[in-house]
Amino acid sequence: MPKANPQDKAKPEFLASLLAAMFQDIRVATPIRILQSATYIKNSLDQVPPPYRYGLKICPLLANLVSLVMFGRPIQSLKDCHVPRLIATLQKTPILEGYCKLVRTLGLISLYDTTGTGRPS
Amino acid sequence: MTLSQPASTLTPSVIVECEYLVIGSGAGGSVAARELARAGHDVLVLEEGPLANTAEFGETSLSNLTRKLYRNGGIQPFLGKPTIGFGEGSCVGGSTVVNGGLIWRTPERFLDHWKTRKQIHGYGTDDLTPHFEKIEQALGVQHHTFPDTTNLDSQALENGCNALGWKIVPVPRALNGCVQANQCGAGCPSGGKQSMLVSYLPDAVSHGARIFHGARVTQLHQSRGNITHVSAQIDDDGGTRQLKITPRFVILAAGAIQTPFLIRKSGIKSVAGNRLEFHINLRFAATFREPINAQQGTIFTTQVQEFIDDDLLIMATNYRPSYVAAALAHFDNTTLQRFMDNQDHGGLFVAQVRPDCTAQISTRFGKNPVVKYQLSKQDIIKIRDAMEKTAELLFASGATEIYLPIQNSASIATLDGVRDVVRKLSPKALQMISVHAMASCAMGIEENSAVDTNGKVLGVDNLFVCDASVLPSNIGESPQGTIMAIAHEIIDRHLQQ
Repeated sequence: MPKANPQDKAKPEFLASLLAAMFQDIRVATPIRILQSATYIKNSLDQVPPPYRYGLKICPLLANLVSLVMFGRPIQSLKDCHVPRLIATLQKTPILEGYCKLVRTLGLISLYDTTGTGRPS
Repeated sequence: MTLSQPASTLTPSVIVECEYLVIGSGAGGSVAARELARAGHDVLVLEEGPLANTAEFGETSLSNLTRKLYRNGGIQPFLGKPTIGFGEGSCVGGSTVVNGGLIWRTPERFLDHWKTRKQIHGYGTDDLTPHFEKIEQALGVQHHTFPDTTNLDSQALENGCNALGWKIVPVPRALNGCVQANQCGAGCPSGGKQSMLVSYLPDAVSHGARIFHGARVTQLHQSRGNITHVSAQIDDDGGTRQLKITPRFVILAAGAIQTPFLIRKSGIKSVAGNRLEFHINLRFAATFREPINAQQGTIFTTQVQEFIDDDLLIMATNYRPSYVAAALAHFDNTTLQRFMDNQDHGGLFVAQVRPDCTAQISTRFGKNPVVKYQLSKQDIIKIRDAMEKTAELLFASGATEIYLPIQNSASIATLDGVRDVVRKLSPKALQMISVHAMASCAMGIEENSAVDTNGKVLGVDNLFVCDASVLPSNIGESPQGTIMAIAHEIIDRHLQQ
């Protein structure tokens, strides 16, 4: 796995694949909505201030895993990565659990999103 | 007239002079700006967040509004076990743009506590009542009236309370033409909710105040007991630029986290932010026998106050599919989809707990605060109790299934089932959020207080705090009314001196 690089930004394509794995049973999760969700998550994570990002440097392996989720190393690096297994690994790690929940929560907000008029976004 | 200008329109190479610099445009800052401008003073307001308008609230998706209107896009954790997500507005109007517009008068028991235990005088019922009357008139505070076919989630709670003999009261809200869009948490699309964006701030501007958004104050510079100048940072398409302001007085109203952070970061008072008090919100979803169409209504119209002296309040909350999804994110997809398939029978509810524990704000991690907390044993008891009481009420209100804010729990159809799960719960599995923080620079008479009872930062002659930070303690209720009343009192005292 690549080393964590906090300067890298999450890529919507990577997050889309992550979300697709997380939301595959939800009927509203169309490919377009998943990509919209991924873009939303990417933009949201871009606003997370550095302390929380740097606070994730727990150990090299976990940092690498988090880097994959939070900062989206090039998607080519993920060819051999089994996304559901990655999620499962992250979710079993207490200190990272909150960030997995965050990704899922943000994705769900976006998947079920509407405008102020009640129309789907 | 435009309410606020981008801070980038200020010329950074020129030092900006003003008589009063108000940092922050939320409930406290807006009162300060309006009252000082009305008194004929030169007022400059700097807001870190963006400007949004009512039309935008109706046209933009909830997720994009959340990202725009909340600090860090809504991602601001209180680190602990479990991590709590803290929601704080960061836009012109501050958290008043994203809250429910509830204007409660300060509960008597806390006013008594401040007077008798903390020896803080001038903030009793007689002192604050004139301010509350002024605020209520300015914001059109009223008990919400609504058609019988709407707000059935709040009405269900009322039925449950009647069955159990519990106390439930109508809520006082700042309203002028609420259309029940059920979007209080992401900006009111009708302008019916009287946030600072559509009330105090326009009034301040009409009296000459200048508001600039998109400028983050980074440092208060002190010399010989006075703030000599203030540094701010502007991020725009042209990159990052610095701004220097030389005010005669500084009114700090950046909220219960940013205000103490800035005071400490500027080397003024190390005690600021050592004790941040907050509320915990536990969100419950429930499915009812009959359709309640919870989306047709507003945030809530009634509040269960049977246990207010035990630090527990229960109420409905905004019901939109994306809010439901966020509240149920800790359930698996099948459970979530099952709830969504039956949405018109569903409702979202909140148990608000006033914990005994406090949080600490750290300045050691660069330019942003880090907040840490730890639940006490008593808090766990309170949370368990809150869950059981809320479940009891929901079943009495006609709920057939309840979804608890506990990781890996399933929907539960009986009160005994809830009690069993609650008894076994691990605190780490709790799903909690918070939207109320206060008392992080609590005013006091002790030498080690950060702020005196006039709102003045001790040891600095021209620096005042005028937001949730100065509340002497956690008041157990939505704090906007109290923040505004205390801000009125602080500004009145200042103007009289």
